[in-house]
Amino acid sequence: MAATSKRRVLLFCVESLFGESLIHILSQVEDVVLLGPYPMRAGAVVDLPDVPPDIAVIVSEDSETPDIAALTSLLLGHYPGLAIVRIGLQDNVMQVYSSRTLPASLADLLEVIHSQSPTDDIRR
Amino acid sequence: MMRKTNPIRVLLVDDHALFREGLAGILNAQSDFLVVGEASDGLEAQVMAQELSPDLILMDVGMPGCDGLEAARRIKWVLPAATIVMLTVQDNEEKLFEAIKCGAQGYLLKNMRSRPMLELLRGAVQGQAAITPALAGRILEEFRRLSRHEGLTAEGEALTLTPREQEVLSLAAEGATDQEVAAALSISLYTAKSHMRNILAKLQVNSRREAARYAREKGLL
Repeated sequence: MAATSKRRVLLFCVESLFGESLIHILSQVEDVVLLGPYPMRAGAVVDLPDVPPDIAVIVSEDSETPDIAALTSLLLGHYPGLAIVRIGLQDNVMQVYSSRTLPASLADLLEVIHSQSPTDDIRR
Repeated sequence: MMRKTNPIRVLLVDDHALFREGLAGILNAQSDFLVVGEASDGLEAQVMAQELSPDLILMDVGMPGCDGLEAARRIKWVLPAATIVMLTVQDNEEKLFEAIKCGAQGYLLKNMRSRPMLELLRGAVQGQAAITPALAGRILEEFRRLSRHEGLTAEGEALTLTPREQEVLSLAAEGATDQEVAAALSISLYTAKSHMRNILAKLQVNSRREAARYAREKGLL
């Protein structure tokens, strides 16, 4: 039987119940390798592993702060194509950011455009 | 043989599913805690509290529909012995005081670490207040503030009696009637009664006996 490939999850969180609880949960998931936790600041990027993770999870009380926006941007610069999940306590939702690199051709651009679901406003 | 104590049975109430599940994981990893139920709003919490009779209800404050404070109030109404600790992201004094008035045994912030939280929860089921020293300090400060304001009127003015009113109240405190007060101070009966009415109004009491006691306690005489 083929071994299940493990997902390398880069975790950023503040030292709080929410961060601790996610570490607790994720460290028990069999196919997840937890990298971190790293502190919630842009400077933490210099200590990141060379091997790119599969996904980054940013956990904070408020997921909309300028610090987190800066960290998201730095992570994408450091690991192009990295998927990032931002989870806050203010709303009961998580935001998933994904990116990929494609050749800069019209065909690819149109494919990307057409792969997006049209919004309700435009359909009207 | 050492007797194994029963774990603290916990009902978790929070609309943030991921936080709730994570917290359940932390609690269940302790040998002396057991999460027996999870609710996502205040109404569900009321039903589950009655069904499960948990030892401890750990409840968020801000939830859609019936919030944690209202749920705490209602749960305490039907289950007065319930131990409820609020766990919230809101570092808000008004909510803190409201939670205490609703019967909560504690008020903890979600930005705290798990170890101190667990210690405070263990204490809460023993009847101790589950509150961090920082929040306890705010409660004491509020009491001090209220104490400073006790000698003030509703408008915030210092509560003082005029020298004549103090004379009238001193005599009344010794048992003098309005007529005796009038005679002693060489004023009309009408004026003596008028002073007494003003004294009762200022001190917000209903009788001269209450007025005398209150004035002595507050050092107004």
